[in-house]
Parts: sequence; C-alpha cells; structure tokens
Amino acid sequence: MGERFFSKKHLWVLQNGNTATIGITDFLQEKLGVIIFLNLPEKGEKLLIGERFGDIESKKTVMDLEAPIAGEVIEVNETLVNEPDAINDRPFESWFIKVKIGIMPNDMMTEIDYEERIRQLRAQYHL
Amino acid sequence: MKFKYMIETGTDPYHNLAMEQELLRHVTSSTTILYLWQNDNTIVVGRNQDVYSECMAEDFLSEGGRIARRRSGGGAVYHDLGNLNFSILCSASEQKLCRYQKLVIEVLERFDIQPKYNGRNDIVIHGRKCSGNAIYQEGDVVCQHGTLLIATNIERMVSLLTPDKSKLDRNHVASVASRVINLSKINRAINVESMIWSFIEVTKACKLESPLDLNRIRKLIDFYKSEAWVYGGKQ
Repeated sequence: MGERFFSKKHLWVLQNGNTATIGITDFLQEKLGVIIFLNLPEKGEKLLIGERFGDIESKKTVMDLEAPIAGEVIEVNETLVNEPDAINDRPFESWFIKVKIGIMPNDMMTEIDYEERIRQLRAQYHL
Repeated sequence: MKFKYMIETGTDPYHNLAMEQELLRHVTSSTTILYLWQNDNTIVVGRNQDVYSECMAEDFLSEGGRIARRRSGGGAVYHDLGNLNFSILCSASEQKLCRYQKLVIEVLERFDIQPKYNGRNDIVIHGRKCSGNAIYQEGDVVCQHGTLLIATNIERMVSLLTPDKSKLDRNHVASVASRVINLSKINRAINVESMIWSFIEVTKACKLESPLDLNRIRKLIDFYKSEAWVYGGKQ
C-alpha cells in the first residue's frame, strides 16, 4: 500500500513505487457539486506538471484538471468516465488515471498538511 | 478590484471564443474583464454535448450557419444579432464579488424591469427566461458567460434546436416561445447598444488597453474551428 500526497489544486496522488494513481479530493468534489461528465487523457499521453490533462463538468461549472506530477498515462478508468457521479460518493476510491512517474514534485502535501490547508481555506472563505 | 471591458465588433464564433480564452490571460486579482460580443447565425453546444443530437447540423451548415463548441457546460444555444453575449473573466478568489447573477440583474434593473435568478443558471422575468449562463475554470481564472435575448428570432431558435418536435407538433414552437422572452419586448429602450452601455455603467469599467497575442489568438481560432473539437469535443 503506497503513500497518498495532495496537490494545491485538490488532486490526490497515491504513489506505489514508480506508479501513481490520481483522483480528486472530497473538498473538490463538494465544491464542484454533482459531477456529470469527465474527460480524461488517453493511454500513452504525457502529463506535464501544472498543464491541463482533462476536465470535469458539474452542474455548476467545467473545471480543468491540472497535472500534479509528470509522467506517462498507463491506464484510464473508463468505468468512471461512464459513471462520473461515483466521484461525489467515493472521491478517494474513484481513481481517474494511473501514471508511470516521471517527476514527483517535492512540494506536494502529506495528508496532514492537506487537511490543515483545507481547514484554513474553510475558515478564510467561510466554506 | 476593477473592471476592464472589451466590445467585440466581429460576429465569427470561432474568433470570439478564441478571444474570450485569450482574455483570460489578462485577468489579475485586481482586474476583472468584461467581454461583450455577438455571434451571427450560430449554434453553440456545451462542452460535452453531441452536435447531432442537438440540431440538424448538415441542414443548418448548408444554409450558411456555423456550429461551435464552448468550453463551459450546459445546453445548446442559438445566437443571432438579436442576442448579446457577455463574459465576466475574473480571478477565482474574486468570484464572489462579480457573480454573474448579481451583475446581470443590476444591468437589467436599470431598464426598470425586475429579473430573478432561478437557481438553475437562468435569469427570468415573470418566469420567462431571458438569459442562460455557464461557467468554466482554467487554473485560478473563472469565466462566467451567458446570453441575453434582446431581439432574437425565437421561432427560428426553437425550430433549429428542437427540429423533430417542431416539425411534428405545431404547438411546440409556441409552447417553448412562451417560456422565453426578448428583452426589447419588455422595454423598448433595450437594444444591443443600450445593453452594452448598461454593463459598462454598472461595472464602471474602463476600456481594456493591453496588447493581445495575435499569434496565440490565431492558434485558438484554429482549435475552436477544428472538427475534432466541434464534433468530437477533443482538446
């Protein structure tokens, strides 16, 4: 079982050796509202840190997904693409893509750091 | 936080969507951009819609119509020169200060009408829709954009967007038309120009003078025109 890290854009990255599994956090799914579409990259596509790799449409908005790490997509969760509202129910089980890691940035947050960040955001913006 | 405006003079949807996306780069935490634009004889589908389910694409194109896909979600819309589009481009941290619901209502109230937000992306007057809206977010910048029915050909709009129902049920056009309204029918002072000025006055916006990256705009136009994007939604 690997270790989970978090990006500033509210994506989680579960690292297992040189493979990473990526999804979005409970905080982000709550902010988005009911998710109705998910657009993901194809197997073989390259991820660049900070660059758009897909998007999510909820009833409120369409939001770009920004790559938290660099690497190559090795698997895409097509089941989730067909039932994207599962993300709202089980965000930490709803993985989007698996990636062969190229670069893991060293400013990713641990779970404790991320929970503290969320606590600060909720206090700052009265969420 | 201050507003800066740009009024678009062209009516090509691919250019206008490209310009809207380019203007996102000019947003800061202290500058919100108001982009006011029109498309002529255009159907715009939402991010994840299927073009062929939303309209009779081949017939519309053969008549000289244009079909575009926007980056925000929601449903298909028809634009003619009786419709005004607005885009409010702001930093995500400032979104609460420039929510389209509040802004558009203030713009319309200047014409002595009482619009309401219905909680489902629409602004209505006495229950009839005059504005549809959608949002997309790229990084820390949010685009809230929408339509305003001022003097649109409603019959044409309904028959283009629901062609099968329009052909089979002669009451269908009248039925949908009764749920939308052109603002010029409520107040004769409303036209595209007076609406543009109301936006500028409510936001106290100054003209945007920043230079634009024309090369980038050209590449964005190619993207918005591409069949892969328009028909396949592929970025």
